[in-house]
Amino acid sequence: MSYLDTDKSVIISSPAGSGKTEKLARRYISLLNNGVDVERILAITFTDKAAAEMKQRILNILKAEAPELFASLIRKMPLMRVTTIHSFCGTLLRRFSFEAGIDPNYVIQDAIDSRMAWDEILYEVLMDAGRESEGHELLLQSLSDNGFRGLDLLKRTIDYLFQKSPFSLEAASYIHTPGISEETVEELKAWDGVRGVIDNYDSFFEKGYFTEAPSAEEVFLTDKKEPRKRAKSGMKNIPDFQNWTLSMYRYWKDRKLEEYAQRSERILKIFTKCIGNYAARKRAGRMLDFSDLEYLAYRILTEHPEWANILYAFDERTDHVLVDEFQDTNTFQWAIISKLTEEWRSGLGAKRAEGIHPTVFLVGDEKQSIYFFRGANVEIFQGAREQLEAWLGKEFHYEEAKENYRSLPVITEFANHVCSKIMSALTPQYPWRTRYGPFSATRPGNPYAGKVEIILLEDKEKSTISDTKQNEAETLAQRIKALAGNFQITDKSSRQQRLCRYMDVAVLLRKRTHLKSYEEALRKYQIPFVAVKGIGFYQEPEVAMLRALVFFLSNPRDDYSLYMLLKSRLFDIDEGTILQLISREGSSLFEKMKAAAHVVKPLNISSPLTGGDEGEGEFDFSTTPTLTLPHPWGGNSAHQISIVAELLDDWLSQCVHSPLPEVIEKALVSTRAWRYFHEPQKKANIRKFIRLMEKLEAEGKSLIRIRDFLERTFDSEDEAKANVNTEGMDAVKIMTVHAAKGLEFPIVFVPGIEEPLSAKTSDSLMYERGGRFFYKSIPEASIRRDDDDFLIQEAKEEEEQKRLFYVAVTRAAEGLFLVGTWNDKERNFLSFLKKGLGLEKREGTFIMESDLLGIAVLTGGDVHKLYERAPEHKELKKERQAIQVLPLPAQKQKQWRSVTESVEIRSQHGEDRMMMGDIMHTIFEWISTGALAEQDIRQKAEILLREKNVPESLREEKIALIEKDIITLRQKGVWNDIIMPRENSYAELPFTYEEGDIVYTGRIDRIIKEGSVYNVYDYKTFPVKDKEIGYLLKEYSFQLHLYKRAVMKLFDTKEVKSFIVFSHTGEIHEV
Amino acid sequence: MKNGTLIIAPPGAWNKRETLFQHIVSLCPGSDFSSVLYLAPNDPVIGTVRKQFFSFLKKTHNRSAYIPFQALTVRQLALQIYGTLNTEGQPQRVAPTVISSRMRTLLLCALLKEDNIGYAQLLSDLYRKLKHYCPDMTFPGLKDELKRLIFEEKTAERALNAIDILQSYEHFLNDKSLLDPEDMLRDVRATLCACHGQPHRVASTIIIEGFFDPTPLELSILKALIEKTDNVCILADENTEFFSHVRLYEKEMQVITLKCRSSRETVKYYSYPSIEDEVNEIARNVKKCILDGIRPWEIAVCFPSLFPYLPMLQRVFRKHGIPASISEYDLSGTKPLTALTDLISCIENNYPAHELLSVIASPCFPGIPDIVRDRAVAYAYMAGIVKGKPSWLSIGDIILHSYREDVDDEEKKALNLFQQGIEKMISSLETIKAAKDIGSFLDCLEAALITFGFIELLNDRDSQFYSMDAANRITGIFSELRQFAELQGNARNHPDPGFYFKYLLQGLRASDKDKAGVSILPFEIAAGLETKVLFFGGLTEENFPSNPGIDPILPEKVKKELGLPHLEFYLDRQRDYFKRLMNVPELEPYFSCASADGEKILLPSPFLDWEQVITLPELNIFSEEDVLLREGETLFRGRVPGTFSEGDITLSRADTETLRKRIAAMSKGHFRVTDIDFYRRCPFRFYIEKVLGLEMALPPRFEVESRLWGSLAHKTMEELYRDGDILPVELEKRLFQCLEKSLKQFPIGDFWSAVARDIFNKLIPHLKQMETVLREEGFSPYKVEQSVKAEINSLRLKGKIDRIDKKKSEVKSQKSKVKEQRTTDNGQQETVLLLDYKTGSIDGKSLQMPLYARMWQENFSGAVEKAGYYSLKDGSIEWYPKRNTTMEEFMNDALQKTEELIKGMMQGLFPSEPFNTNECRYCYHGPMCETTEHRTQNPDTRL
Ligand code: SF4
Repeated sequence: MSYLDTDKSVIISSPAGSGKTEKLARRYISLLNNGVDVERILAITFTDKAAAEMKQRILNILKAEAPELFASLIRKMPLMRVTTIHSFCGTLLRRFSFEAGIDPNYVIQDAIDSRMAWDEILYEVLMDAGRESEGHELLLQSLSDNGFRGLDLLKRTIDYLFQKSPFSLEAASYIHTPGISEETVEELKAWDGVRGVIDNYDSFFEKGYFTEAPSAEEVFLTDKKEPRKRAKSGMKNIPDFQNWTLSMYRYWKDRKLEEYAQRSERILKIFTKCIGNYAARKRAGRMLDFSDLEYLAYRILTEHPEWANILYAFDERTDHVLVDEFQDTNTFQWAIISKLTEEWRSGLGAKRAEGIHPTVFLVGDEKQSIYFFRGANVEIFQGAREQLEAWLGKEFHYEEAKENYRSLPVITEFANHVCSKIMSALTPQYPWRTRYGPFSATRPGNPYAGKVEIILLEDKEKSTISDTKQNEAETLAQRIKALAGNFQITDKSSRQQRLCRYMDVAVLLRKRTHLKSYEEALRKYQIPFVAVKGIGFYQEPEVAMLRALVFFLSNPRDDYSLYMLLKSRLFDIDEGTILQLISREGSSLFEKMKAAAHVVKPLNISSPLTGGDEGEGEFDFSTTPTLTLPHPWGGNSAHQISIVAELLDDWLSQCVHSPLPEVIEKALVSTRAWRYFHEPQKKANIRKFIRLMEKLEAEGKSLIRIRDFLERTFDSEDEAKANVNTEGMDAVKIMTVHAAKGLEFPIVFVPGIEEPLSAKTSDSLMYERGGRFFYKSIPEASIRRDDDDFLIQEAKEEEEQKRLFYVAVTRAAEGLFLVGTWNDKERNFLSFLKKGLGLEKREGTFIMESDLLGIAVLTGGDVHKLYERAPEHKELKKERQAIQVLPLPAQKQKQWRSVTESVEIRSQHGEDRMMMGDIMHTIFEWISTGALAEQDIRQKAEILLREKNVPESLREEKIALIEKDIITLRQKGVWNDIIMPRENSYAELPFTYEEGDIVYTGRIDRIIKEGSVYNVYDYKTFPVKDKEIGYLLKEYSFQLHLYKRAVMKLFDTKEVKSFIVFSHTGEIHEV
Repeated sequence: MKNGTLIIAPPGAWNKRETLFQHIVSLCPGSDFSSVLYLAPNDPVIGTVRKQFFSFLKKTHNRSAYIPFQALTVRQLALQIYGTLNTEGQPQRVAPTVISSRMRTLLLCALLKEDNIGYAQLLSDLYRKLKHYCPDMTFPGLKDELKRLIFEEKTAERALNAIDILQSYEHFLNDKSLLDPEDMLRDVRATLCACHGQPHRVASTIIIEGFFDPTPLELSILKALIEKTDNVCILADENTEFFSHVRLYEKEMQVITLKCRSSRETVKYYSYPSIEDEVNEIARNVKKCILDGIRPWEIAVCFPSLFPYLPMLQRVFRKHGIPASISEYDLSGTKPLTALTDLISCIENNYPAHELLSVIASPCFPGIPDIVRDRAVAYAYMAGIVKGKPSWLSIGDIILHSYREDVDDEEKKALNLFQQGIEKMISSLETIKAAKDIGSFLDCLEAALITFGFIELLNDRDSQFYSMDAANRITGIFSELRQFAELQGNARNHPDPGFYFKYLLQGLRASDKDKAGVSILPFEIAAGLETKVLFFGGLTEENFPSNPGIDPILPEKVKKELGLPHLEFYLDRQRDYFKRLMNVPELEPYFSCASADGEKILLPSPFLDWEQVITLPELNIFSEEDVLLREGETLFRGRVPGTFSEGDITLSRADTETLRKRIAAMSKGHFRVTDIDFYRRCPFRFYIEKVLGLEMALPPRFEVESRLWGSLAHKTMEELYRDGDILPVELEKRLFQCLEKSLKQFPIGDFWSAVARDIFNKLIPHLKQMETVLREEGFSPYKVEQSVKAEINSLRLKGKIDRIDKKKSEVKSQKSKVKEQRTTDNGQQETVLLLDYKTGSIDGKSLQMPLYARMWQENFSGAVEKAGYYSLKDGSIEWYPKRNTTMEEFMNDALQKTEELIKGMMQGLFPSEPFNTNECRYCYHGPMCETTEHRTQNPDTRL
């Protein structure tokens, strides 16, 4: 196969189901087979998941086909470079950290953290702008332009720019070139008869007039801001009125555009300031955010091409680049890849000289480019092909795959038919238009196999959107119900025919707006389902409940969160009780609860599972319960409140020392609320939340800062719900088309085909032209409507929707079902069908022009009949036994305890004394063992003090203290009798001694054997006052008695005496 | 060496330590083992050796008190020897003081031009490696080598630069008479090599055990010890680097080869769908082992990289009641350290709200008054504090004057105390901020920590934080930084001492060394263990073997040439350890990995034999959580209970009574029209916000709240026509006078005041035009802020009309207002229009205007011609009723609706049925009424 020719660079346009990943894996393997070192190959995938899958695929093929190569590759796995572009850039940045001035141990900031930082920066900049005169003006203008919502709008615009980074960093302001010439203005001014009917006609041409006299526009504009066709009363005399209004309109528009251009300029200035401060803050915190990776790597490679040599020196050169999902590449990414290959691509370069034949291998499908909104630029695909052709000539190979291994013929035919009509041929002036190349089904068997069904419902007049959606969703549910257990499919792994199950069905949504309706309908028809890769994690009720718990724990005066908790499954307190509670006197709800709790005595709530009094709440599992269980602790509401208050108090005090996740888990267990969250998605969401808290805590975030983090999540809708492992689950999967990309399902439903394609446009636009980025903002909708850039953007979005349609329908292997409500609107999936199949409604029935076999159009009534007639499908049900917690036997292990550590002197005498104590002990020990001569004490002390980091200036003073103590000890005879070297003595004797369940370890300062008696001495080096002595002797008696007993055992004697030596006074006391 | 024993342990050898212990006992017949020195590679091994020796003596000799042997690592021994150099070697010479390796990083960072601590760490690491792996190489020599090895100019420059910095670091130390810890090892090696016979103060017997791959420097120290000590006993594992070296002494020693069971060449492994599942299964299996009679300390659990797993591991183990002893954990996520980091961030970043609140709320600062702790979050939110000392210092004023009118005395007192507390706190933090150098920074910080009760708490044996030994470690940081400051002298007054402090905080570690339980430890240490059961988890491709990370200083090839550890070295080493681990436990080891982490797919480690993956039979070990989940499955089969109490709010009869009372109290006899409108928009929301009076504490926002903008604009407009109409030419001047007056009432700060002025400035042309139109229609202002109350069909309503304009002929001066009212009461007809100022968007279906119109008529019996929303947002008026409805219909329709609404309200009906789903977009009760989907702001982003 020519794409495996490793001497050539290759682009493969590989449509859905044509085995794209397999091709890439094969190419990788053929490189290895040709002796290319694994570290010389760089394979770039779109996601981490795809990277892991790619590795797996490569290894699996090798294992089956080339065990030796497999074994050697396994050894070199850490060198295998199959990664996302982001992590590749990340490595590159570390490599160039020194040149780029980045901390090589930089941390990647997560989205919410960077949001927090961004918000704070924005605040500072806005406030600073308020102080500096220039900035002030800038800000004022931008704010007051929009009246009282000025800041909100300004913030939103700046946020929009922030979201678009790194493109925003490149964005240059839209520069307005005035479209109206002086002559035109003169012409307008001189227009016959206008002066006569409009008093201050000349003012129109003054700057700012339209802002100051807002209604002036009414003279020539309609409410919709279009040029008037008919003159208002009193203006009938203006000759050639329509032309005049048209010209006036143009003039007005131009003025507005000028104003907007200035505004954009101002906004960009503020934005630039913000982004600068933001970068500085990241630098200080040794952080980068996600978009930095790509952008900085791009800058490094483009601005310092000579640095590439460093890669050679580090033996990190890349000879072969493979890129998956190439259609989703953005401009920066392509620039990076392109730069990496530039030198050798041109036919020159060191590699060629070395006889290495570097290649690129790009695989993708333009028709599946659906990440335009994230910056993917589909034009790059075609552009790369042209460039490589020009650069490499014969060394380049382009291939268009035609085979589809996934779908049955009817489905491929349907896709070919519709898509080739809606997707235009390539037009050079619109390189972003999608070109369609048909494919053919290559699955063996019947050429008419497969099913495509278009289910169309009637649009009832006056029905609301939610009614329409409900109707549609129910029809969808009925159709699924009728299919399950009745529709024949080919099992993918066994290749055998079998009846389909719920798990074979996927419902693909263009967007999630009406997800709820579909879920409700499926529930109503008792069809098990999972919403896969759903987003909106933080908006899930169970997550909101836990968030309220964290809020409450961080601030018990947060009444709102407490209310949420009381209402939640944790406590299930009825509304009436809460209402009564709130109506009591008190400064916070929690205070009120505690006051109410005093009225009744709480029960023992140790753990409802392992004991405790369950009171009236004993469960009866034999009957089917309602969706609300009796309280685990039963009782009346006053009783409940007192227990709840006690539980809350308990959690609050736990928070002081236990990790937050454990408090949350405890809450779910001690209230038995876990029972309500057994459903896989909810369970997984809760676990995800707990795990998240764990991560935040491990990062060193306090409860309050976790709270801060969670506060940002009210509006953050793009966090994915927890992954649910759907393996073996007989459930319909609901997901977005985006999430389904790269996947396939036997049966696919695409509902909502009548929904309009895109939402309203906003007034800001970041757009790309010829590899450069621009920003513009046009608040006036009427002007926006015929602005070229906005129009092109809209057209591009429409193209993307066509591709989305293509992706959706090509996910189906055996059956495809499109569901929607008939309407006459343009710009929806339905209109694609109309155009592609000649679908229309004539006299109440749906007619299809095309005579494709296997495609049927059904009405709601038809579906209903199918549903009624279909035999009942039996679900798989697993009976589950009750289970219990086994208690662990009590474990006894010796406890080890260090005796010296158990004596607390630090808190009483301070750090300084601790340190001095250590030094004195060392000196005494050295003297006792003869290692230190008396005349060297001063020098030794000096060294010891230095080792303890005591500043030079203080050392003399400390040494004097030591010397003073020694003099005292000498005077009292202690020095000679105890500290100086002696026969039959020990200094700093270590011991291990077991007593009861404890093993004590420690060191005894001094033991001197006099006759048969062992005298044990313990030095106390801190200053003591006479009156403290009694207390201290008592305090240390345990320690000394322990020493005594240890010595008895060690030396097998009964004759032991123990003494405390106060070095400061030279006194000795027997204990 | 006079007597030597070499014990060779082949893979799978058992009883390694017991053999060694027997050897020790045979050497020391009594209970005094102080003549023995036990050398082991790391602290955890030393810890276990001590305990195992105790058990051994107890079991075999029934001895429970003894003088133990000294057990040390090579570094600890070297330090001990180094300590004797001064006094014993050459008493006259003062050996340089040894610094810590962290100090090395700090000094290197200071030597770099910028605060690139990451780079300093790399350099520090390079220094250590150079000293260990190329112990005899000098820096100039190294530079020559590098010049020879690196051709590429930039790369060579980079490497040479790095060496220059290391060299200047070394010079710096020499100048200050200090010694790097690695150089201390070098010096000790030299001393050992130079001494003749048994080195002084080193025990006469040494036992060497557990070394696999010591660095060349360590190895040479060990060799010197072996050669110079009288009695030596070495236990070496076959197939290790170390073994190949000690074999050279084979001839001089008695050699014992241990017996072993057949060694394991490959093991089965388990794969789980997620990391949490994996950890859970490990815990279940551990529990099963314990239930089967294995003692916890006979079980070891390890991971290739332990830290990321630790929090989860600890949590899950606790959930199953399993005791654990952790060899090393990161203190930086613990409460005392978090508190300290927050405190420093507070000072560095000008008291951002959440950092300061974290400090206040931290349990580690008991010295902060309770009143401050209790109220801080609530007050800070109320006052909308984002950051800044001035905001904190005026928190009380903000709350008192502009946000809450109904602060009672008790609350005022609390607020006052709170304010005092905050002021005190900030003033002690300010002293730290003002500190000019590291030294005084540390002094002030210490003083503040004493004031806040931090130091005392950590030293308190009864406190939960005592066991972490955090106090010692933090003291260490202080002394280390003080040393650093002294070394830096006055040459460099670092602008940000907090930077270094935070760096030192990050590296703190602690261990559970005296705790009894399942040992949890990193795999390198586990490889030297003797254990009955071993769990080795986290064996994924990205973690194991791990990549040592990118080194921007020296290319791999160069490192290899120089003999420094390089990528291959690390990979081989991990493979060796992995193989060793297979043979460590007595029972079949339990290896596992997860196949996904959230969205991420994980592949098994390439060291594992992918064919050997097995799934585990379900164990009968459950946690309380499992039991509850199972119960739920049985109870709610196939049905999904909601998270919040089922359905909408419903109240019992008795509770409805309470509700009525509450509503009555809220409305004081008359319903506020705006409340009814609120109820109409969403009854559920009305219930929560109005009936219960609950609002979510939202994060401090840094803009003026829309409500405040509204009040300001209303107030200004009210002032404008307070005394009746004004001449159009006066409008502008008057408006700004009124604005200034309102700004006094609603202090929003200089900046926002300027914004307000500008907004009105922009509004002026629109206002002028609207007012002109009104005048042209014959209307002019008549009354402002008119309260109205009325009882219509037994409905008792009240409200406030922003502005009433009257047909020109009927307008009298304000002074004759009272009299005029009387005349109207007497039945004189008058035509008015009603206006409501809006700063936000307009809800055309609102009941407000028709009800006001009806109430006006009820009160004044005048005709209302029309009612309008006067938008201060875009300067226009939207008039009602619309064309095809009469005023009468407009009012009656509203009245009828109102009746229905009030009925519902009084019956306790509060369904979550928003009048318009757009309501939900800006409403945060979504999760509670489970209408989260409505919230979607931009459906397209929800992919
Ligand atoms: S989210 Fe919607 S339904 Fe729920 S309370 Fe808010 S406005 Fe009402």
